Amino acid sequence: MNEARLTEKLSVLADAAKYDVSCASSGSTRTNHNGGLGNASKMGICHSYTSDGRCVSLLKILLTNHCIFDCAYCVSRRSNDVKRAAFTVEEVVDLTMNFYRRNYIEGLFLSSGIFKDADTTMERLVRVAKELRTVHKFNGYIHLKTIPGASETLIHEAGLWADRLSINIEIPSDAELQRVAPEKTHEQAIKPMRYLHKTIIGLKEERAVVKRAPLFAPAGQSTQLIVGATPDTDRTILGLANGLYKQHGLRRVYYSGYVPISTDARMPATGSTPMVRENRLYQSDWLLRFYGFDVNDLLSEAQPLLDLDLDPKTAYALRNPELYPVDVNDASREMLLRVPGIGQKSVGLILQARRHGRVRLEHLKRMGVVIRRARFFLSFGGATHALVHRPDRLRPHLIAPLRQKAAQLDLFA
Amino acid sequence: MRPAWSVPERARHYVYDGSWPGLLAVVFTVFSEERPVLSVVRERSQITDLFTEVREVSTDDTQATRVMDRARNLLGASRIRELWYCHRAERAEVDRLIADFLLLAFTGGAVNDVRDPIVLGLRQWRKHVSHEKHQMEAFVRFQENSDGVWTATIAPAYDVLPLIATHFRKRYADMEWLIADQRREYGLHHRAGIVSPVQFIHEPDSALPTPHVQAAAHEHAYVKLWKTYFRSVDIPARRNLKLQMQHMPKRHWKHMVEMVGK
Repeated sequence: MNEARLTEKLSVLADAAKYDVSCASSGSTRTNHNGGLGNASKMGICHSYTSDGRCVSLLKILLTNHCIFDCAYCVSRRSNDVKRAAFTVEEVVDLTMNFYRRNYIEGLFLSSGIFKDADTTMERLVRVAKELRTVHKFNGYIHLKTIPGASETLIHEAGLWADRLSINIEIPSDAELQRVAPEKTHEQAIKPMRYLHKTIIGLKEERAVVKRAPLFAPAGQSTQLIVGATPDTDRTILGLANGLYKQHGLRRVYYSGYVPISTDARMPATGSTPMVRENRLYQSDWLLRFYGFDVNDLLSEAQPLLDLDLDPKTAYALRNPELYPVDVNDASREMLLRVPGIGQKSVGLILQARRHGRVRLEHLKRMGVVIRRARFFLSFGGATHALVHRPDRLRPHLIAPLRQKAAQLDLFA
Repeated sequence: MRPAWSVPERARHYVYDGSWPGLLAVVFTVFSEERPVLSVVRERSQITDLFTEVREVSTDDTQATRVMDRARNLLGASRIRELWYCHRAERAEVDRLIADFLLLAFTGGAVNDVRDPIVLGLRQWRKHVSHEKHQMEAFVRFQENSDGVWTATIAPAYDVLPLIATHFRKRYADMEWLIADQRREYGLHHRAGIVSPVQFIHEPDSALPTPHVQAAAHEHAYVKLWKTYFRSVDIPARRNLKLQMQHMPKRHWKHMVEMVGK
């Protein structure tokens, strides 16, 4: 091992990969069936946390940052003057095995710049995964990037070795994408997604009958959308995400606040996207997937941007005061899920408790309900909060103290 | 009328050896001698109350088995496992909750009523213990030694080593490894699918030869590469140490190569 050379490659190719925010190592059902190394954890494991508080779960690297494309938002674009490097297949395999054995990581997340052409790049990614699985009996988590334009044969093979596959849409609207990345279209990303979705479902059904049918991307697919690099609204972003979940069976859509890494003239000259916008999008994404909300509940054509001062559920409650208060002892599961400050787990506990008798405020406190927010929207059979139907007056009570301070500063600026 | 075992005036303190069968024997004793629980502790010295009777319970496997069988019939195996999880917290308040809960179950109480502080309290303790277990599965750092054994040291807040054994046995099936709990002075050793407990030895003049184990030749290189990786994925512009510490409490840092000295 040439340690100095490897160290340099690692720092270049890890740095270039960090703008992909996906870090999940969950959702796989792979087991250590061959007495080799590794066993997937269904819930995923974060092995460390960086000083910005993000989780480190996988060895996330590019095979190479040489790229024939020139996408304005990407640090590895052809026209950008950065240091270039490339790993060999053996180097990636060796790093993955040795980091995994030390319990540093859950597995490998391998992406790449497109060198030469899509198929050559994809073939190289597949080879790394195949070698880990077959030669080294590695059963840890592997997330491979699907290279747009790669052949279906290669994509299929990737699914046989990897736990998760992802292809990033990056720019939320097709028109904007073609402006900043002339070589790309949405269709290029959607096409392999469609193929993978079909295959995953097909092989899952087969596995239900034939136990020996091969695992195929057991942790499904994900994608990433960049927020704030183009004028696309939250409504466009969430509308797209919702479609991806419903039509293409994606497990996760990641939202990446734009960091101005690029001096390309096609990109906005503004600063970073505020972290809070990214956060509100994730909260909305959760409401869509687990809380029975629809995109139209959260945003409208007249109001296409999320309220940065309030979490999306609280904002919804203030826009729809006629739905509240919700009676803790009587309301349906669906309505309890729409109460700000009450999460899925608390709803489960409330329903369980109701079978035994009346539920009171003190019970909710112990269950972990955020009373500070929930109290305005709940009733316990009797009195309701005086402000429940006065959203204008309620609003100041619901803005988190830090945001209140920021809002005041804005007023006086 | 109240059953005799729950009359508060008859309550007393219980002392046991800290083992799981020991705690079950306490429950047996409470029931058979009809004297309610004021507290359950592991050391007599933890009781400062001079005026109340103290009952020392010695671990009796027959009693423990009887309690266990009855509890399993009433509650099911997964619920028992939850109680066993809670017991790893090694806290007097949790031991008390477990005893109270079993007594509740044996007298036909509503064991699923999460409005009851005993039921909800145990649920929350199970969550704390599971969380510590999960953190240990994440933060253990193995070092490869020249004799081919992979070793790691931990100091968890709760006694979760037995809870993480299966995870590591399955994951590192092809390695000989040893995870040592520095605080409780015992470890788990794995070889070829068999995990067995090992005790620390405290004998300065031991006749045993001092083992000369050192890190494997390439160990240092991989540690350095890992640190390089860890530095490269950081985004210093978004520094948020509070968030970092919330996810990865500082007490674990001394056992994690990428955090040592930070």
